[in-house]
Amino acid sequence: MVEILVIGYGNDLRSDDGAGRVVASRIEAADHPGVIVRSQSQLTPELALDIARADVVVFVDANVDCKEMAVHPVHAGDRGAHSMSHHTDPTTLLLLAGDLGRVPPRAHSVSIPATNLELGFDLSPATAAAVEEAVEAIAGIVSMHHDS
Amino acid sequence: MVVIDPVTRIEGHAKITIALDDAGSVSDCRFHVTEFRGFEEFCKGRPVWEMPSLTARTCGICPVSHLLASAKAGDAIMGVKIPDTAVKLRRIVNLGQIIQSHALSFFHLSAPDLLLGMDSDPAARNVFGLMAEEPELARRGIMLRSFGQGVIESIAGRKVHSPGILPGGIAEQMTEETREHLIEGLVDARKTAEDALVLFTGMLDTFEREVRAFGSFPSLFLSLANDDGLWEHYDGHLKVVDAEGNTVADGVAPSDYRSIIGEAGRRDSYLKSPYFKPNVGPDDDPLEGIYRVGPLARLNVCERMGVTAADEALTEYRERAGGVATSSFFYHYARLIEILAATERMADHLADDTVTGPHVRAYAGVNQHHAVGVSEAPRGTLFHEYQVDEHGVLTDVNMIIATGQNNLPMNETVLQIAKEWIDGPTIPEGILNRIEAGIRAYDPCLSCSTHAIGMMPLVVTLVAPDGEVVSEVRRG
Repeated sequence: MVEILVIGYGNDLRSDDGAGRVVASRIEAADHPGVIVRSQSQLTPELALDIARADVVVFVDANVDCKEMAVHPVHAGDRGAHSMSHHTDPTTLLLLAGDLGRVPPRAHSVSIPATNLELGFDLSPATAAAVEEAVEAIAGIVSMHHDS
Repeated sequence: MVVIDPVTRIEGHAKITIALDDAGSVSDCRFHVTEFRGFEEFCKGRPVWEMPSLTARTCGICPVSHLLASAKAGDAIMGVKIPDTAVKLRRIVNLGQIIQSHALSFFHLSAPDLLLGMDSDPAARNVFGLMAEEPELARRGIMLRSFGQGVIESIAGRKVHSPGILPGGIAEQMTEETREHLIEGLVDARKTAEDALVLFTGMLDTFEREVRAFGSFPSLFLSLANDDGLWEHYDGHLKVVDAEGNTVADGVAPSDYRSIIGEAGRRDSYLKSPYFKPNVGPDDDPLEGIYRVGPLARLNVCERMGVTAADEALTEYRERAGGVATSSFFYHYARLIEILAATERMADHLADDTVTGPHVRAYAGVNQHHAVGVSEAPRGTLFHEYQVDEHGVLTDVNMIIATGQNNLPMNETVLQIAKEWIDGPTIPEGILNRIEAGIRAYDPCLSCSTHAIGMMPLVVTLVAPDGEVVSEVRRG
């Protein structure tokens, strides 16, 4: 079976910033076969080990620059000046996964619109609605890869 | 004046301002932290029982440290002595935290400087350049970090914001399967630590100038200590030694930390500047009470590591340092010894059959209204002080974070590096990197020390005596 890794990340004390982690918990609760879920406050370098083992990886994050939920393909970054800190980004992680073994054949980035990043636990109505769309979109990605 | 903005490969936002005198020589330096989060205010009004998981979210880098300090404050609010098995599990999870954090600091963040060179191509001076030059080392560094994260996950339930550490103890007992899995993983972890120590000591002599100029100055050193003089990371009392190894304060109960630690604010940074209070009078500069925390301090405070291989490494470390290590470049060296000690200590804990015992939690209500919880985070001593009402709702919170306590030393380190290498109004890239590397030696986590979150760009500005900006460098 195709192994799909879903990584939801963000700060769940910062209202909409935690949307990726809300999606991660929803996907985990759905218990899709072959799907591994990681819920992170931020992307960390050792995630590259999990990514190198996966066939498909889905990054889910809140984004203040997008107006509606969107799914885009994401690719390993160009080799060059990558300043990795205690946290990193999807393109850098994919590049590192390649150095550790292989880049997954498919990688997707799910962006969830965020408007309120103030201290708090609750999602704004627009972000909460986008979370539902993201959960549905990821379920579609899982079905597509498992049916193919 | 020179400004470096942003500082890279550290956690948070900062900038550096370097002032020149009339002769064009470096006269002063300021490390500014430019983020603010105000986390302590956010905690007021929350139940003390929520605080471990809430404060762990102060930081995604060392959440276990906050969990432990907060849970220990919670233990004290309850007025309980937690079960011995819970103490062992908390110690194991903190050792896992030290391993994963130090592994990232050394292998990912600082090894590119050390192995590829301070003056090497900045485009390749990162983990990918390291992967190209030293692929096995880089891979093993990531595996070591992953092992430490796995320890945290297996005991505390999750790598980040772990729910398993609570006031009163630990949520669940350890299974035999987990115990055996961790014992297996320790073999590679220890080998990686030993090999990294050999690698580091083999190249240390090539960094003679950095050892001399990367924060090499007398200061006090503070950490937790125990009555046996062994390396301590979880419990015990506060101890302070000076640059000659003399004991300046000892046996200070964590709850009395305010008797020895004062906190000064500065107009140009959100990072507070804690200082050793007995050395600073009302009109004195807090610099009179400068002290360092973290791996360097812990190794200066303890008499022995208490485990075989790390004690041998400590003996060589002290020979190379000439006794007390006063150069912040030795933070790297100290981290590697602590990783090795952590693997040995963890093996000892896991060899104890009581570690899988079922009694892992004590239960009680609010029996005290004020408490302090202290633990040793990878970066240094971490304080959580809580005041609660009769229902356990927080009415006041104070946190003193390791990186904050290293604020004055980081300033002195940057000044020393600037004086050693800057000559004239321009800053070559290699010198800029040395200034950053001087800060990176402390492995600062500004996200929680300022109670802020974000990435860590840096600006360096070079300013003339009349205030004119001579040059400015930005990165990140």
